Amino acid sequence: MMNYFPNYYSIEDIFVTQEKVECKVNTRLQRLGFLDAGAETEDLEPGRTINLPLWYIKELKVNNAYFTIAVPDIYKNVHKAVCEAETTHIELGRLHPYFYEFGRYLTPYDRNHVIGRIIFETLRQRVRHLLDISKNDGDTKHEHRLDNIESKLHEAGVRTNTLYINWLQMSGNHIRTSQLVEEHQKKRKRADRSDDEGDNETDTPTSKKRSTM
Amino acid sequence: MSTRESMSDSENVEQALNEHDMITEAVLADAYEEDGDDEDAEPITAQKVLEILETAWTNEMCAPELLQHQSDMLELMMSQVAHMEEQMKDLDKNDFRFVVHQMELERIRYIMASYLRCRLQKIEAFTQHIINQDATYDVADKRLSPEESKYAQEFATNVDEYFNKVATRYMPNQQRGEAEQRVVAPNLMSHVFLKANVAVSGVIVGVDDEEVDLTPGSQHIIPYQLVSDLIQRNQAKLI
Amino acid sequence: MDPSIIEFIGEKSMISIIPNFSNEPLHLIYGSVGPFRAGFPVFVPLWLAAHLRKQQKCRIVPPEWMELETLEEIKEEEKRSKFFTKMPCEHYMVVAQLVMSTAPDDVPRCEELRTIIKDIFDIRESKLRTSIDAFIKGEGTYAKLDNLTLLEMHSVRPILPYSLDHIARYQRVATASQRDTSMLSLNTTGGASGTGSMSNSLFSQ
Repeated sequence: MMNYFPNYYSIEDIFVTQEKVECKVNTRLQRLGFLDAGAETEDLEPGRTINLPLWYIKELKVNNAYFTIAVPDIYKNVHKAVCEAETTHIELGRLHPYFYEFGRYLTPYDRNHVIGRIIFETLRQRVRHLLDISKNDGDTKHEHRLDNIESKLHEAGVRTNTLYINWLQMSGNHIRTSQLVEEHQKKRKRADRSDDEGDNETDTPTSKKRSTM
Repeated sequence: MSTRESMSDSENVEQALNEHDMITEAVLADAYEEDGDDEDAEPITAQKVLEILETAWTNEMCAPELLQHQSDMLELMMSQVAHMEEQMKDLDKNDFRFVVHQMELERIRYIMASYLRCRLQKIEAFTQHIINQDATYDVADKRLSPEESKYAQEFATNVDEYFNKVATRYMPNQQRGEAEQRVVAPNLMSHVFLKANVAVSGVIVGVDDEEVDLTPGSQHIIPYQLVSDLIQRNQAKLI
Repeated sequence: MDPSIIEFIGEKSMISIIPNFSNEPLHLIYGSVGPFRAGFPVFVPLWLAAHLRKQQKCRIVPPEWMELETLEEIKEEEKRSKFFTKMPCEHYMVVAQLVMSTAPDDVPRCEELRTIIKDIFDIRESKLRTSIDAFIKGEGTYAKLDNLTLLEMHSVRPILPYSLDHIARYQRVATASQRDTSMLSLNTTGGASGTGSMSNSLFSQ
């Protein structure tokens, strides 16, 4: 299990870049009127506000001639809490499921440099809380409280704690059949039952005994 | 522990087992000659080889990127293990010595398997990145062993063929040319736990060029990239 | 590195046993052990000690530090000290856990010892959490962790390094964009959403 680090194939990154970003049209864009659901014109008129997907926006230069990207309210709204170091109670997941990654993409487009500071300050303030909840209430779900990055961190923390507790009780030392092999065996059993041919030549003892550490 | 009648046999075996250091030394002397950069090099013992492999194993588990391969050490250890097993095959399976040697060999085998498995995981995760990177290195500095290199190439080809079959061939040309973008690389600024083996002065520990002197045995948490050269030079290890 | 691997590494620690058999020295790759003489103590790796004990071929001699008074002192010292004190053994938890689970009868006052060792671990773990908090809020990406043992590190692994990775990643983006736009603004001073995008080549995704 590796730490999340966005790359071409990462599904989270694809989800994040599907998110819509509000932008203001700066110049007449010929025959792009269809992008604006409320407009009747064929062209996209300056001054209109439209939502565009992040995967398109992120390819634009910061001071491109066409659109000005609006800073989403969610980041402005937590600004005060960040300044007062009171972010642990915020239901980040409810604000945005990809609060940090979405913010990271928008950072260069924020002329006041607020988003960039907000996302790393927020995470910085909430790490202690993440450490604590993964140790103390591993079973409780935190879907609204945590954003995607935090949920992953929380999962990792819970896993660590489980491993440690199992180790202390000396219950984690058994060599278990790997899930893959187990599934395979189930299928095999089903297959055996359906065609009652008895001996199955591929079912060697090794395939049964294979296990993972 | 051993039964009287098998005594003399067992003694021979034990004697043979005791000779293992010398045998390893002989093998290693050859290895050094090939290298030829240090004529007075002390022959390496099996114990030393094991130490090197253990360090390589923990470093590999903790490092975000693929480290330099250790084929030479692995080969030495493999032949050592094979040699010992050969010597042991005449011992009674319940013999004290057999059991203990066997246990140790299992531990060593586990280290080697875990080490290679860890490398394979990285190779599969960062295939193209590692291949590209290795192409720029001299033969002596290659990260991939010849076998791993072959595996990486085949893996990359298979993945490409698969993608082509199920997706990319149905896409416009433009999308096919994203090879560069598709390279998955590790985050070299990942934080790692480090233990200094020796005193190292003036290690840059932060983006603002803050410097710190490491004392032997001191432990740190630090972005990998800032200390990767210390790992390579064995001045520090990852824990 | 999960606990089973930490245990595996800790099992290399040497421990004294009193065998009830005799045998010539064994030349392991790891190093020689023995000779074994019935009734006489000999140092062996922990993995071997645990095995022999399970076979009832030896008694384990608990290490010197595995004793109430010593551990009481260590516990008090740990409470007093701001930093992590040096433990008497690099793998104290692993050694304690293995010795006490395989040979509880060889350790006098085993249950009390178990509790106090767990206390020491817990004190150190909560100290670690507190210092992490201070370190992260102090905007650090580097910290010294002298005397911390592997199993203690495990308690914040991988959540701590992973969190630091993300924080650092976001901080880099924030710094880079601040730098890029401040360079930009030199060229396009006053231009609110200027149409001249040529100076923007400085900014790359």
